[in-house]
Amino acid sequence: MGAFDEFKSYQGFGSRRRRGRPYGLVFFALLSCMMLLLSRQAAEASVFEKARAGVADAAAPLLSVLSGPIGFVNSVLGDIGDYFSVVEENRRLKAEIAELSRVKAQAIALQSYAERLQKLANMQAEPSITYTTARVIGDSEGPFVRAMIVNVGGEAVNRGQAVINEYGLVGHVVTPGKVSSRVLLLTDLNSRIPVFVEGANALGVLAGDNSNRPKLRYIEEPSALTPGQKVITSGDGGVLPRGLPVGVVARAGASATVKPFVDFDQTELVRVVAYGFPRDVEPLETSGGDASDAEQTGLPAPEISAVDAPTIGESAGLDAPPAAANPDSEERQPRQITFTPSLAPPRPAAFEADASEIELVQPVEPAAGDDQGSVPDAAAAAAPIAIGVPGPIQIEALAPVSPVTPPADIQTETLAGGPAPNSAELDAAELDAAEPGADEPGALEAN
Amino acid sequence: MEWGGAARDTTPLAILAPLALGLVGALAMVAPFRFFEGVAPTPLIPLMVVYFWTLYEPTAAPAASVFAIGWGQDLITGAPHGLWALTYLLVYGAVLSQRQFLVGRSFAATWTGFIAAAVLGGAIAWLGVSIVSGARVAGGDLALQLGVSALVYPVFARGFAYLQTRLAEDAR
Repeated sequence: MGAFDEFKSYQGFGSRRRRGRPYGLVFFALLSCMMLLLSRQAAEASVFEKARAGVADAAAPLLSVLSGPIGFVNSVLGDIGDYFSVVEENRRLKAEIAELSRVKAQAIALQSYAERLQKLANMQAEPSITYTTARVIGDSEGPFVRAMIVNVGGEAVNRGQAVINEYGLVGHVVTPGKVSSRVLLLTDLNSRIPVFVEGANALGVLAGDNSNRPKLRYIEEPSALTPGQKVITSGDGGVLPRGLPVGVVARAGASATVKPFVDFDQTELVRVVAYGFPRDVEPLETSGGDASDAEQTGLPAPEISAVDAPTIGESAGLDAPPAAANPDSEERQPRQITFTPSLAPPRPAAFEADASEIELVQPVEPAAGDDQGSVPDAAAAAAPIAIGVPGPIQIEALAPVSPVTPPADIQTETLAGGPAPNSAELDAAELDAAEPGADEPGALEAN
Repeated sequence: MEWGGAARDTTPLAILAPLALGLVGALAMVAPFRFFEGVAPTPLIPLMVVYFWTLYEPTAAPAASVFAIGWGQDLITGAPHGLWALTYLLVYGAVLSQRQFLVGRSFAATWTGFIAAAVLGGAIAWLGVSIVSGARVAGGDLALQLGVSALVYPVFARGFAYLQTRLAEDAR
């Protein structure tokens, strides 16, 4: 260590006199200790949050200036590393392009089909989503905190909004400032994201633990998980939109983990997702499809009239996962639910059912000379309308009240093995049965 | 001019130097450095500042400055409030108590002292986060960061020594 011998001469730049009693040390240590113990509660306190946002805002200009050359150096260093794997990378990208082309074709077809079905079902559109693009100017990949600082703030950003990049979910905003915002990565110890595991049809919570493999918690059937299943946001809670890609199951079982799609170390540009879930829902007005619906959707105009009905199921939540989460659900026999409009209860009640078990079919026009509504002929009826829309939805009546000769039943069937992973909430509150006797107590038969 | 028990030759600039360096070091913690594609973490520069000045010029780094450096790091990195402030203050106290033993010895000895201080600081920080979060958090990243800090400490210590020497000469 000869090179450091010069440090031997260091006797201290100042005096070596003994210091007095360390009152300052004790005072500030106690203050720090108190702050730390209260930090869980105080973290939400506006004064601390404002201080944190203020510091980030103050540092934002400097970080913005620094991030340019730092990013350049990082990219150059990264490029040098890429030269050693360019052939393998090229091969991988070609395979990915081929796969994406196939997926794109499927997506276009499915989107068209979904739009037609949504039109037909008069489904309430998803709340509008707007995006704000931001640049990552700060990157706190510390041992206890996984966060980023992005260069957008003010009214464009609110606490809780999702942040994504081109691959998927990065995290969510925790401290919006005036000119910058702090983004908590989904790998952070404090991150909790409600997710849905495709394939397993399971809801859960993605809990960060400061590692690169956040954990899947509150999965009712961990045995349904297998490595490689895609994990997306579930939309539960209405804070994050449903369907944002999160990652894939890396390890199955009770201690399941997820490999995020996002490479946080390579993330330079992100988009803040402004998602306004309607919290104060206006009562739905009875409306329905008409001939124009049929023309626009290409499907026959339904003339079903929904009725008030009691709750027959519970909406799926974390505490009560949907029935579809049961691996046996795909093997269940179709369940038939029969509504008797003439016996409907006088007051509306929330109607909640597993979407995989519900299907609206065409109304039954009584045959001539037949007083009873009959099950429509499968060949004559239009294609079944499976409400297999993942996530809670609201569905209005499909058609104006259609006089149906009482006691004509409207028979519903199940789309067997429907992929609906979540519950559908059918609010029949505003639906009235027009036929005589509609105010009478209803009957619900579920086989 | 005396600054809360500082030596007579301690100038305001000498007091501000470790504070500014510590805060700049805290800022560097969030700068998007991704050494070796993010594998190597940013070293804990504020810890080096606290250790170095506590060892060689404690009068220029009073407890208030150490607290400010630590809380500044908490604010900028998003760590729980008081975590790094408490960590640095306890390291500050520990180094101060061993200062008579360490000063004047070889650099290897003071380097070893820094490693010990880093281990102590890491243990305090890990314990603090575990208590706050109510769970035993992973310590691998912290160990890696402390290891990198220990590795590069000689480089930073040379720079600190040069700066402090200039400041001391100017004070005279």
